Parts: sequence; C-alpha cells; structure tokens
Amino acid sequence: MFRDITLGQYYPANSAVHRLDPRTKILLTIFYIVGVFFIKTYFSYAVTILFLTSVILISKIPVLSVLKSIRGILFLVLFASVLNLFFVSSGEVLFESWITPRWVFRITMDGVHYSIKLTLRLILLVTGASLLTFTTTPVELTDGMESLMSPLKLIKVPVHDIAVIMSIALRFIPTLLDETNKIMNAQKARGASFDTGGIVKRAKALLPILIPLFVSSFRRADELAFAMNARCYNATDKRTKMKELKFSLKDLIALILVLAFLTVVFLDRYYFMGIDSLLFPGVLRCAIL
Amino acid sequence: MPAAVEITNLSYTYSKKTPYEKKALEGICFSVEKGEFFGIVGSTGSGKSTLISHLNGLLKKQQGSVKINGLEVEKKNLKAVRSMVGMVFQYPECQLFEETVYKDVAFGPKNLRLQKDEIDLRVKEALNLVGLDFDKYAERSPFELSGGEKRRAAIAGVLAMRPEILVLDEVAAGLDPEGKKDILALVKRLQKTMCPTVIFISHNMDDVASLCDRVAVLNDGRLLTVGEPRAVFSDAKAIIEAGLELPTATLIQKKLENKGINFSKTAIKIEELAQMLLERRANSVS
Repeated sequence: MFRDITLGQYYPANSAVHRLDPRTKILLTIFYIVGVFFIKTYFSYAVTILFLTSVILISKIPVLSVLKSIRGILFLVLFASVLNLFFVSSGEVLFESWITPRWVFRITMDGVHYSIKLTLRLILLVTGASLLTFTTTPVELTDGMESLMSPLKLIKVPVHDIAVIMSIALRFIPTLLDETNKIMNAQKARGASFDTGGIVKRAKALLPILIPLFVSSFRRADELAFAMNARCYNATDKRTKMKELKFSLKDLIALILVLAFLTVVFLDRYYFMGIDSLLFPGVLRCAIL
Repeated sequence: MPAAVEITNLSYTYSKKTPYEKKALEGICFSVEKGEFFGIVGSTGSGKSTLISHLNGLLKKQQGSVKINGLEVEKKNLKAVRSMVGMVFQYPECQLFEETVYKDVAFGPKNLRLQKDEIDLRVKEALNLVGLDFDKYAERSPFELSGGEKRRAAIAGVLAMRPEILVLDEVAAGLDPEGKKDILALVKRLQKTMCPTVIFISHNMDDVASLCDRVAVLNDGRLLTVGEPRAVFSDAKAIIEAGLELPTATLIQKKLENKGINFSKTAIKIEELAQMLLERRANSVS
C-alpha cells in the first residue's frame, strides 16, 4: 500500500521548468510567494492565475494533478473564508440579523470580497509552491538549498552537514515506509487493529509499530555511519560534487519573467487599480485588503 | 472436508491505473490439504509475498477467491481467518516491541481477548515449544536476546495464537548454520505437535526438498507447477528458467548424467543420492 506513495510529489517530465537550476526555482518560488502577498486587486489575481497556468502548461504536468495539491488545504480555505465572511463588518451591508441586542450577524460587501480574495490567495500560494516540488527532485532541492545557504558558512553554520542530513533523511523515507508496512502486517497478523476504537486506543495501537520502527531506524543509522566512515567520508570544503549546479540562459529568462510578473503586481497595487475600481466601486476603501 | 487453503483464479495488480502499474499475480489456482507441509518457491519478485499476504487478508483481494478451511477471506471473516492463519514474516524479530518477552508473546492472545490465565498458559506453551525456558526468558527484554533467540521469541508470539495453519516466510534466513538447523528442526516439531498444516517459503531448495510434501513454483506472478518435490525438481529446465536452483543432490546427479552415468529416478536429497550410488556400485561389482 505504501508502494503507491511517490516521495514528495515529483512528477518526472522533460520540460523547461524541470531543467531550470534548482536554486533559480527556489528563489523564484520565494519571489512568487512574496508577490502573491502583495496582490490587492482582482486584476492582479487574474494576471497571477494566467501566469501560474502558463508555467504549469510549460512544465508539462497535468493540470489536474497540480490542482489535487489543493485538496490538503481545502478545509483550511473553506474555514478561513467562511469565518472572514462573518467577521469583516465594514462596507455595504448585504444581510443583517440581530441575534441578541449586543450580537449582530452581518454579511457585508467587503467581507465577500475579502473571502474571495483570501481563497484565491491560499490556492495560488499552495499551487505555486507545489509546482516547485512537482518539477524538482528532492536531491536537487537539497543541493539547491545547500548552495543558497552557503553564505551562512561565514558565521559557522554547518551548511554542508545540514544538507547531508537532509538528503539522507529524504533517501530513507521510502525505506522506512516499506519497513512500517512490514511491521504493520506482522502486528496485524497477530490480531492488532489500527482503525478501530477511540483516539486514545488508536494512539496506543501505534506503539507496536513505532517501537520496532525506532529500533530499526537507530540500527540503520548506526550501520550507515559505519559504512560512511569506512569509505572515509568527511565533510570538508574540498569535497566535489557529481552534478555541479550552473546558472544558464534559461535561468535568466525565468528570472526576467518572474520579475515582470512582480512588476505588474506592484504597479497594480500602488498606481493602477483602475479596472477594479470601475468594476467594484467602493471596494478599495476596505482597509484590510 | 474443506481444504486448509483453497485458492482459485487469484490475480493482483499493484498501483492499478497508474504509470507504475505492475501485475504481481495472475490466475493462481491451487489448494493445500490439511496436514500438508507445503512449499512455495520462486525468485525475487515472483509474487510469493503478495500471495501469502492474501492468506490472512493483509492485501485486499482484487480478483479470485481465497478460502481458509472453507471460509472465504473477506472483511467480515478477517478476525476468524487471522486467528486460524499464523504468519511468520521474514526477519520476524522486527516485530518485537514490548518490554519483556512475556508481554510480547502475550500480544496476540491479548488481541484475541482471552482470559488472563488462558494467556498465561498459552505464553508458557509457546515459549516451551520454541525452546525458550519460561523462567529464564519471560521477564527479559526481547531486545537483549541473541539473534536466534529473538527469532524464537517472535515465532512464539505467533504460536501463542494457536494457529491451525502456519505460514513461514524465509524462516531460516540470516541465521548461522547452527541456528538454521535448530529452527528447521523446530518447524518440523511444530508440524507434528501443534499446527499440522505448514506453508513454507524458502529460497533454499535443499530445505524445500527435504521438508515439503508438495511444492508450488511461482514465476513472474504465474503458477508454473505444483507437485511433489521429486516431480517438480525432475524438470530441471523449468526450475532454472524460473530463476531457481536445483537441490544439491539433483545438481550432482545432473553432472554425473552428463558424464554418462544414468539413474533410474531423480534424487532430491543427498542421502538418497548416496544410497543410489552405493546400490550402483554393488550392482556393478556383482
């Protein structure tokens, strides 16, 4: 059953987005996230959706599987937008009812706008960020992170060690899933059940899996450390890499495209706002947006 | 009387309808009679593990039928089936988790919701069967036992459920020769005293040839043949095509046959071959 789970959610394909330098992708994802937080108008949201859709299309990942990544936060999105619908009380009143003399239930135009924008923002954030993990293997990600964090070496942060620990952890996720599956089967065969009873009972039922899992993880870690030592592993600066990361022309193009997108968002926020004020007069007065 | 295990037309595919789809079993049909020592052999990836996972419903059936003592393995029978089929997985010592050997062996019976003194009785019986002295081992931590002892303790954990059918997956793997001999002797003893039906999975053809009444050969998810070891191993070509080895005796016999020494029947045990060679010499002298 765990065999079906692919690590992270890397989707193998041969596209321009896949071939970008991981460092570029990490940085641009951060830029994109910052950009999304600066969006204020529906026009900018439309631009962002257009931008994200084109990136997804270029990356050759089925749109449906990208959209699936929203599933995990669906509840959060619904919860947040419904709550905001009730708690934003400025603007034109659409519906009002006094529950008690001091308690009013009120839905306003600003609240509706705010909820819609919040939903869009969360969905855009998650889809955009998941695009990074869709197009980048975990190993590339760690390499990219290591390279990006290397300035921290100046203040004696063991960047290389952190990167090695990360990649080993990633490497062992499938192994441990396999192991978990085996142990679960063995305990099930002895009559254990993991999906019945209350929450305390279920938590207790996990012990027969967790303890053997811990034991074998420690054993594995120990063996791995021995094996690395035996092959003279050391984390000095002189270590070279099998795959050197290199910036190239496509990274520059990607950077320019994302910067262009950011420029549109910022201009729209601070100078333009034209279309939105025509479509929804009054919405811009809403202070929280 | 229904057979201990009856499998008809069983097929299973992993990761159905994804790019990673893999057929693991295809149209498997065979049955294991009560009191039989039944071997399953096959190279890595031939579907052995998938097959035995069906025996107590660890994998959900996709197609076909699996009956244990006439009872179909499905969700509503799961408890009954799991108490009838005892599974000893590869490296069973991985399943040990309790503070003491006693508690670990009692895990199964506890899940069956037995009375305290019944549990006590079963733990004693199980530890006794696997040759671990109750007074000496019951209160020790399973993690401080030796490799062979750990494996015995884990097997005791399965035996304490008093299964009617015992499934053993590579039970002797990774043990030293002495430990291996002990475990195999234990399995034989168990078949005589406790659970008469044993399903034995192994890569070691010598063990299979000397222990099993019948053998099933799996290759690439399909059942190649089922039969008595002598009949199965006499078709050397098929065995080698399935990625398996011949028992040592059969291999030596084949080499002798290549040199022009012919035998009347296939030998599968070393003692047999020795006997046959002795008879041959006696004949040629007279």
